[in-house]
Amino acid sequence: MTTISDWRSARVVSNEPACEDMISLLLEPEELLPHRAGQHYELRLPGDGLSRKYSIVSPPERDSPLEFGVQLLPTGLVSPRLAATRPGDRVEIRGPLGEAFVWTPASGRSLILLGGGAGITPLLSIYEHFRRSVPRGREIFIMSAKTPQRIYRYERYRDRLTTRFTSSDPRLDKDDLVAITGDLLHDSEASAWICGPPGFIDLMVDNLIELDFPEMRIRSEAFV
Amino acid sequence: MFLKISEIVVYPVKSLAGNHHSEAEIVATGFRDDRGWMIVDEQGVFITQRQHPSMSLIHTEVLERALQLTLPGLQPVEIPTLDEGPGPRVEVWEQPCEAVDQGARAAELLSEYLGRPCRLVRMSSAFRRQIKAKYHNGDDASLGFSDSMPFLLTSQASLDDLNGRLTEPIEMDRFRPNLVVSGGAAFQEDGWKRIRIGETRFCVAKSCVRCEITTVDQSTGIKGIEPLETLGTYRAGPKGVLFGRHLVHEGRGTIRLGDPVEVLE
Repeated sequence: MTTISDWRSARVVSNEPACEDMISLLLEPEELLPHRAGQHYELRLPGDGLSRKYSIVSPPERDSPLEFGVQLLPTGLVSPRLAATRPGDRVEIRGPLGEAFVWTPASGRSLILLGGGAGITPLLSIYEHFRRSVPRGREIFIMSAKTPQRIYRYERYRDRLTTRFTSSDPRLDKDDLVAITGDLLHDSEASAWICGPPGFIDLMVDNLIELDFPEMRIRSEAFV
Repeated sequence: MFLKISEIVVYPVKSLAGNHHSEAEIVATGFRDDRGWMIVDEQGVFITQRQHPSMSLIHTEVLERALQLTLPGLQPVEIPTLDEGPGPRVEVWEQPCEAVDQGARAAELLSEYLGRPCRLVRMSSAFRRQIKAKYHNGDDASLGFSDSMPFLLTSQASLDDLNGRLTEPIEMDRFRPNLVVSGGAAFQEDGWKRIRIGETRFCVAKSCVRCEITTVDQSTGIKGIEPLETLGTYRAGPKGVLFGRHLVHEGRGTIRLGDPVEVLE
């Protein structure tokens, strides 16, 4: 029986640019294992021992094809090769993995999402799953990125996002967080999910704790 | 309910066994001699139970001008304390510190025990390891070779709660606290911001994110999976599971067993 730790083959369904530095990769795995919102897979090219972790963009309700957001690192050893794949090509995947950044309806009826740059990817899965599983839930989805061109499929998601662009807007600080989130900060059902570069996470975690948001309702996942 | 101090523990050498005291003096760096020494590899990087769980079996005692090391199965050895001398560049979590090498005898003993070349160092008396400014009130508190904060406080009620969820209860020593508070409700320390213990005030700076050292049975040096697995089910925070709170002292004083703990804020 296939388990989450077995490598298996997946077919590239499509591969498109999603913003300046990311591609959207749709994969159809040979054997499908259910995933939860916030999880990731390891991806590698066939015959190559080198793998990287990529968050699943699709919510659990949409499990085939699986959507991944891949940030292109010009000097990277895996992302340029994933970017060069074409529909019909095969890649290898292992997962779904990760237990610490999984949102489920038991996490509460209110949601604060805080993303930095490429850190948007698992938050999109959480956001869609939240919207489908919590009727009349309350949520806020905050994205910080250098420019709009650095946000994954910005045109598609812009209406759902509250954005702060570091190239032109003031820094996302405590006052700004209070202004954006309002009484969600004091909502006992709210949990906060932060994903992005380590420096972004440190700042946002510190901000939330200083605003007396309960530490045990904060989760973070670092994109290094 | 009445809160009081039920354990006082000082760890002279980072990651070795701790010593219980009935009272302990607070100096600039926290409890006197707490994490005043540490073991480093050839590059000067700290070595802990994360790599060598059996370090928990090494006992120490601070003597007048020496540190006594007792390794399992061996007679105690006195290592004369050197306050001046060659200062290797050492680091704790990539933070450079000035230190004095404590000589060949300690290095030989510890290298033999751990099976890798290492040295014992003591923090230079002239060196002040700063605490991040956001965690204290601008007085002169600093710290020894501890990970990031001068004090760790844990709660007996919180341990009792955890033990109620574990198949095999564990001892408090896995959490390596300096201070244990008894009385009150489990995890009420989560909400504390400032406290007074006896005559000394403390800023409650942050929660402690627990590492794999808590999975080492301190009396056998054997590593398992608990309590991290169970803590993960109900004590997960932004960067890992939380148990205990870090304190920064806002003055000097002496803490004694039974001292009342007053929550100021």
